[in-house]
Amino acid sequence: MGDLSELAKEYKGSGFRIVGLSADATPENPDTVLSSKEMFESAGGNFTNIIASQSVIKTMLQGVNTVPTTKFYDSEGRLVTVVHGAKSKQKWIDIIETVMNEKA
Amino acid sequence: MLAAGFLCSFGCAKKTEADTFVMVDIGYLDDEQYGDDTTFVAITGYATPQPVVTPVPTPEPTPEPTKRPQSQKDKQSGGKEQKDGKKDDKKDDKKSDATPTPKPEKKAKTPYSGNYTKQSLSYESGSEPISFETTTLDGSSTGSSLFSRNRITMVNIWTRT
Repeated sequence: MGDLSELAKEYKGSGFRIVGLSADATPENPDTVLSSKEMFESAGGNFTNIIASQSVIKTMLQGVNTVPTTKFYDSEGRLVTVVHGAKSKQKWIDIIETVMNEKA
Repeated sequence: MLAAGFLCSFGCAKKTEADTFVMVDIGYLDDEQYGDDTTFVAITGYATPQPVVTPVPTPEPTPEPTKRPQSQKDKQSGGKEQKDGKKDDKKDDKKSDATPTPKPEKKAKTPYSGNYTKQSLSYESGSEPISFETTTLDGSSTGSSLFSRNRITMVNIWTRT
């Protein structure tokens, strides 16, 4: 989470944005939202983090079997690519730059 | 007596060849005072100077302009001007009909654009835009508009366990 927070700062204003999605935090269970928030903040999360509403489960969480999973979307909300697993900061930079230069 | 004669005089004027007017007054005096046969004649002559008329030359009619054959250069420039005029009209029309269109996103330079290793990624093709509504961990409402302000949005999905 710390690496992603750094990247969120570094890419600010470049047309690239990082959003977190707490897959097990649902609006039907406020405790899950509260505990996710505490964990996110303690990990140094400084970017927008959304929770798993029904419409999120039907769209962004569709087909997700492992965590972490990272999905890239274009400005219209079309899925561009999916990356599975945790990555180092440099690996994330390589992936982000590749997507930005090839698909943005 | 001469003055009295003017009281009942009549006159006429005659124009001479030398443009001199001569007025002849023939007066009849009162019969009771001066008798029946008393008449007087007064001749007054004066010349009226002829006004000098300066002849004004009549302007000659201006000939109608004759069409000069256009040279090739003139034709080209004239044609160009005409075309330009048409273009301007079209431009004006376009301006007047123009509707504000959203500006495309500027492709800002990314911080590591010159320092990364290109990755082999499998891209999705033909995917439909997704639509959703949700809230943030802070409780703020949000949705698909999250994507619209950036060229690429990365959604990192994680859990507590």
